[in-house]
This record gives sequence, C-alpha cells and structure tokens, in this order.
Amino acid sequence: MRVFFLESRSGPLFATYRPASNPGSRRAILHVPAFAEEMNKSRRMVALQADALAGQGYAVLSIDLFGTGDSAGDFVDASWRIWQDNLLEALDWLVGQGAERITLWSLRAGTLLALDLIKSGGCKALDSLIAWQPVLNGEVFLTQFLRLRVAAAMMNPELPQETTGELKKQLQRGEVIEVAGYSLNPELVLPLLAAKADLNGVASIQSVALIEVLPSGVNELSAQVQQFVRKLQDVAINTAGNSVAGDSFWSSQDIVTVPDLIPLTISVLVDLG
Amino acid sequence: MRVNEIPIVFNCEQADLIGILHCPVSVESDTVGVLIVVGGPQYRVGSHRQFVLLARYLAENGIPVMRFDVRGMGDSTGLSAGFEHIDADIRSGIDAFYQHQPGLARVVLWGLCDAASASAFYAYQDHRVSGMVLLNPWVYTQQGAAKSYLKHYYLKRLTNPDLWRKVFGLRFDYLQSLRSLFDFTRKALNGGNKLIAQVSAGTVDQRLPLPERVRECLRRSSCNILIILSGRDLTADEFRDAVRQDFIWQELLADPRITRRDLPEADHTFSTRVWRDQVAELTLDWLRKV
Repeated sequence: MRVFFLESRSGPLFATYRPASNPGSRRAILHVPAFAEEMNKSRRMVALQADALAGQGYAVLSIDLFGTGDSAGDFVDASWRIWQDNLLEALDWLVGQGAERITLWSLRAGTLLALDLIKSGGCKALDSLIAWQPVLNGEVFLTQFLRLRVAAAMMNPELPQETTGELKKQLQRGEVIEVAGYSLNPELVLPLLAAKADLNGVASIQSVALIEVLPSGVNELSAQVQQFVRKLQDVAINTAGNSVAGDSFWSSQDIVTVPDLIPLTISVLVDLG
Repeated sequence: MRVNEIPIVFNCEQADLIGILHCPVSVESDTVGVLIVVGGPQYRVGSHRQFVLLARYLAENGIPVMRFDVRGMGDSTGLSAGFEHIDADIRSGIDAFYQHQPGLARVVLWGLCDAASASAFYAYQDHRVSGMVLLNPWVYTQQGAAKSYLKHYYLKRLTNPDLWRKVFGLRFDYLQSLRSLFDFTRKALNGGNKLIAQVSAGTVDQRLPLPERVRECLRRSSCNILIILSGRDLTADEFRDAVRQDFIWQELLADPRITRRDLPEADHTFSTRVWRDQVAELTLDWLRKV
C-alpha cells in the first residue's frame, strides 16, 4: 500500500493506493467515503475491503475529502462542489495510472456524492457503482445527523433546546452550525439536503450494485433500496441488490467489522462484469 | 510557521503501521515532540478530527507531532490487541518519530481515555518519554462504574422534572432504564474481588485493578504530567471518584510534577470547537512551561 498526499486544487489530499496484485489489470476502484464520524468509524472495514479487492486484481484508491481525515483544510470550509472536484481529480489520477475501467465504491452518504459525480459525466472511464449501505435521501440523512445536536442539548439544560427543523432553517439562512464537533457549512449541507438518488445521468454507467448490512434475522432490503433497484432495472441498467447480516460498522460505538461483507462485495463486483 | 505533513509507514512486529508526522520547518535542537497515542474506537485523526487539529496547532507553534494507528486499527495492518497491549506499538512509534524528526530530544505522550491509560503503562519503561498529557484517563472497574453512574447520572437526572417530560415525550424505554438502575445498584453494593497489589521490582503488575495500575505506573515514572478532565463525562467521573477514595492517588496528584485542569462543560471527546481549542491551548501552555 502506498500512502501519500494527492495534490489537488484544494490542497493536498491524503490518499492510500493499493495497486492491483496482477500488474496487467486495467480495473480500478475509487472509494467515496461516508460522512463525518461515519467515515472514521468505517476506516477499518474500508481498509480490509480495499486489501481484499487489490488481491483480486483491482487497483484501489481511497482519498480523504478536503477538510476531512488527514487532508488539508478545515471541515467548515468544505463544500459539495469542492468534494466533487476532489473526486474528479482522484479519478484523473487513476486514469493516469493506467486505469481503463473504474468502479466507484461508496459508503452511506458517499453514495449521494457518487451519484452526483456520475451525473456530471466528468470521467469517461467510470463504468459502475457499488454502494455499501447507501443513503438515498439526503434530507432524511441530514435530519438524523442534526438530531445528534438536539440530543446533546437535551442532556445539558443550559444549551438552547432546538428542533431539527429550526437547525435546517439556520442553514438555509446561510449560518454555520456545529453538530457533534463538525461545523457545517451551508455550501456543503444544502446540496446534501437536496440530494436524492434518482435516475438522472445514471444511464451513463453500465451497472449498479447496492449492498445493505442488516441485523441478523432481517433478510429483506430496506424499502428505499428495493425501490431504487426496481427503478434502475426498469431503465435496463444491470443492477444487483444484496444483503449480509452484520453490525452497523459505520455507526457502532466500538470498531466492528463485517467479515462476510468482504467476499460478498468481491463476488458482486465479479458478477457485474 | 511552515509545517510539513509527511505520511510514513513503519514496522511493529511484522505489521505495517501508518503515521502522519507534522514537522515544523525550523526545529531547534533538543526539541520535545508530542506523540499522540490513539485508543478506543478512534483512528489517528480522532473524533471530529481532534488529533489532526491539535497536531496542526502544536506544529504551527514549533512543536513536532506524530499521530499513528496502532496494529489492527485504522489503516495499519495486524491484529488489534486492545489498549492494555500496545507497548510495542508505542515503542515503534517513538522509534519512527526519532528516525524522521531531526533534533528530537524527548517525547511527550498525549492520550485520551484508554490511550491515556496505555500511555501511563508505557511511559515509565522508556527514558525517551519526558512527559504525558492524559485526558479523561480510563480507570474502569465494574464497581467504580456502577457507583459513578448512580451518583453522576441517575441521581442527578431522576430529580430533574424536565428530563421526565422529555423521557415520556420520547417514549424512552423507562422500564429497561429502571432495570439497569437496579442492576447497577447491585454492582455498586457488591464489594467485588480485589486483587492484592503486587508490585514487582520490574514492571507494574498488569493484574492490578485499573485505578491502582495507572497510579503505580505514574508513580514509577519521572514524567511531568498534565491531566485534563471533562465535567460532563462518566469516564472522568470514575477517575475523580477513584482518586477521591485513595490517599496514595491524592498524594500523587499533589506532587508538583503533576498539573490538573478541569473543563467543567466539556464532554468525553471535547466535541465542540471551543473545548477542542481549550485542550490545545492547555497542552501548548503546559509544554512551554515544562
């Protein structure tokens, strides 16, 4: 594995690159990370999966978006636009390494970023998306995130008791608000709030796979994922929806892994062709 | 001050550990660097990037800093052994820090929660470590936790009518909550099995209960120590309770080489910009004094 800073227009971005185990491979994968603390919590699982993918002939690049992880900048200065640019520059870098077919591998809210990136059509080598525990509705996701602040205030009567609706209004007025240690720039979260998984632009890629990690005993994909899979199939995109039993590694209190997700992801990727 | 941030990979017992160095461009000879030890459910950037921001702040003020993932955490390979078994990781981290940072004379270990305890376990064994910054040190015992939970959580909150309105408004599972209250009460009342403190001449006995083990490790070291405690944190409550009940701890804390600071409003991970900045400033001020 190579660790380095990838130079970008918004400054150095921390990157890990695992070249494919077979040097002739032209297949590559770019990881699109989860949001805020979910990115931190899932670091281990992402590293394990990336190792396994490299062993199967896929070169894997993972970057910390501007203002996150070890990359340059403060989170409060991050915007949706900057993150899109970061990902495009990462794709260019992969093409520069000889990649001819690139898969986006997104986690949680990273799926909404990935779908926007596909829509932009900025990289011709992009041909598929594999989404882990996809967030398909930005507003639902952001509301859950804002609840962290509401819950923290409930534990401390000296803090103003707000609702998520009021917090959204503050963002819409252009105010920065701090949630769980993250200062949210409206230029980052208003596009997230408006983001919805839809079919716009998805037709430019050949296949989409969605994988959910479900508590044991639950076998059915969430209604939103099922619905999105059907929509994709209706427009004749090669689509797969899969699930695996395991813990919510992106949000659990302790670091947990879901070992079964790793071979499943590889087999889904192989099936997509 | 200009700072170079450099990713490094170094070895620890066949595993590849990933670290980031924050190197100020002009470092005096005989400089003291800070090694951030990472514990709990975090990797080298910390919750809400606390460790990245702290490292940048200290490095801009001329202090070299290194952060890294121990085995089996974050991007490092190997298997995670838990905070009680990372001596080799810390030693490898210090070796790598010396190798990459010219002019480094001494190292201060900086750790939060179980990484604070892990730092204490390690420091007295390595003469290169001259100081420690310990935030909300983890001194968990089942009995201590039960007492702290009762005292600082339940009793405070049961008497707060506002809470009850919220509890019912939220359809809080109060039956479950009461059950856990009874369970905790039972644990707090049980004496528990106390190990006899056996301190050998070499290393501090690993079988000691955590509060005594951390205490003995700190007594054994000659480090200057800064302890920072949050006011709204059960881990810090447990630490305060353990110290209050133990005159050897109190004697130790009265030693001039130990400084203690309290941030009454802060939570466990210092999860606002204000609290994070307070921790960074306290750390820098203390580093300049010692």
